Amino acid sequence: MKPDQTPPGQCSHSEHQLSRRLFMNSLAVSMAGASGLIGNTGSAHLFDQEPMTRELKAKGRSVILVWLAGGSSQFETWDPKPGSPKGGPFSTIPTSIPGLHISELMPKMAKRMHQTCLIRSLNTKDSGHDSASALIMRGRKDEPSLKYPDMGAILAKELARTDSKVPDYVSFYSQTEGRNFSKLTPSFLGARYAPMELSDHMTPPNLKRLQELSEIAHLSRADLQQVLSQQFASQHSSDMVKSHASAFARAQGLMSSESLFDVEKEPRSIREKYGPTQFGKQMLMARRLAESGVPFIRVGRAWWDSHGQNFETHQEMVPELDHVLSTLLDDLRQRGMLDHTLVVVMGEFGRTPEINASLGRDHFSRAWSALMSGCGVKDGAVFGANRQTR
Amino acid sequence: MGIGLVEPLDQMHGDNDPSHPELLQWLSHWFIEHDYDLNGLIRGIVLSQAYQRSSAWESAERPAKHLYAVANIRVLTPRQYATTLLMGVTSPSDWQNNLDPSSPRHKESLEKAFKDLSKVRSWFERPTETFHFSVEEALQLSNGEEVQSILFDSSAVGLLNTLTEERDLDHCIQQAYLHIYHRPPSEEEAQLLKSFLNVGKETFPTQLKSMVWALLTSPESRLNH
Repeated sequence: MKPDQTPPGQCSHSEHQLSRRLFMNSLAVSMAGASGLIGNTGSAHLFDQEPMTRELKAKGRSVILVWLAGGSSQFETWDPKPGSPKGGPFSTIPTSIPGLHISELMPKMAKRMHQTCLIRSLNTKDSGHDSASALIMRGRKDEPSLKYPDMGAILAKELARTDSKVPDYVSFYSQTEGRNFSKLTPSFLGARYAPMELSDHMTPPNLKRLQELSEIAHLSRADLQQVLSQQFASQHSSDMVKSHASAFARAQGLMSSESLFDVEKEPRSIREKYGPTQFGKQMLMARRLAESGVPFIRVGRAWWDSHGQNFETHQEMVPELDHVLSTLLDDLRQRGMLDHTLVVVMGEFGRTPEINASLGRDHFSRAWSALMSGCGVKDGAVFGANRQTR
Repeated sequence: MGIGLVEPLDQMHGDNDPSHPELLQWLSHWFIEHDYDLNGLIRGIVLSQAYQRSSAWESAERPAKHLYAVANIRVLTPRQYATTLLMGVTSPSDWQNNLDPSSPRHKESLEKAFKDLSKVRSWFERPTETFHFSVEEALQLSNGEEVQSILFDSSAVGLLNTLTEERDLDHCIQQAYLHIYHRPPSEEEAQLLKSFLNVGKETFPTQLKSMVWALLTSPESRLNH
């Protein structure tokens, strides 16, 4: 892993620079439905306020985080620098926002940029996969004796309805590369808010009732356990007993949501739009989950870590991202879901302006890009600028 | 006892007062006077009335944990609960057949027990200060294939067989309670389970298995109380 190669201050147009904290706050703010991206930075403790949380819950808001694991290149996606010595071989194309150009590898998103908010100046100062993933997912650095929960767990806790029959937090990550970097963690929020992680299978384990038990036998067994629990609780009422009961009640609820994890339940026309790839299927699943009230869904797409053959890697992966992401945005919009679903596209960092001897780009955290759409985020906004090529 | 005189335990300093300063002071003096006798200290604690209190509390409001007025309810560690489950499905009569320690069967059964124990342990999370039961645990216990194969299918002997052979329902329920909860059922519980089991010959084995499952997965088995 190479350290950042840009000296501090190179991209220091402070008025353009959207700090990590501001970015995380704006994520919270946009969840709360504020209309401007940076309009309300005083609301860092937004979710401390019970009434606000209640209101959000009532509206059934969700986040779909498209996690570009390994760090995609901002140059070959949202922030191309054509014609510069290190700009790479791809050209740019105009977009639906006058004056904004993005990489030619994203023709479909180019037509939809007016429905998104682009940030081109993330400066997160951490270029290690593990620590940077933790930083971005948690929104802050851990302390020596305190690990913070990630944003999925926080939003699961704040937005999940207690009687919910769906998971609160689902994470897809199918590729093996990078899977173990920075495990998602609910930390002190507890296992109740841990993600349901789907890596090798598209459906969660143990969701199907045992074959040997009939539906009636299964339900009567669950009923008996519930009565025994209540009896125990009459003398031993405690948070532990309540947590135990709620886990089993949620398990029952989840079992009834089994068909939710079956993309075959979608009409063929919709499935065809998302395409046959695993990433496409997972994004369709993410939409299904958001639609039924799952507050936080992360769809991991790996592995963007192009230390060698950066251009071939992006030539292969960016068009898929372009297709799947634009399909998701269209689908959400058509269903009227985009006003209460926030889509965020980012990884742990971007890639260097320099092109190394293996025609790769290395880790770069001082000026990279992320995209958001939906949930009140200002459409057509482009924040930040940088001058990464010399 | 599940809670320290100072909480969090590792933040023992002037700005974090103990819940019972006099007691802590007294214990410190005793410990020093007895030449740092750790065994003696532990003996004293476990023989104290505070340690031996029941966790049952009848009145509406349970007293705060740090008052030590009632025993704290805690989660079993993965190892403890795995042992509870594995012992729970073993028939009491199995324990009487003491195998010759030099026999290969003795070695085999020990090896199997350790293998099962480490497998069952892996289904559960280590309790932390902020422990919550995960839905994964509930799903695993409800629908996991391994739960079936390790706890409910594998043994030709075991508690289920002993109970199946029992002709008298009352006695069957009594035995299950004594074996799993180490107490007899209350009258109400006995009635409840009797109506649960009294379903005809065909479905009796299934109901019996369901009863054992419900006893083993209920909080009375899962928690240290």
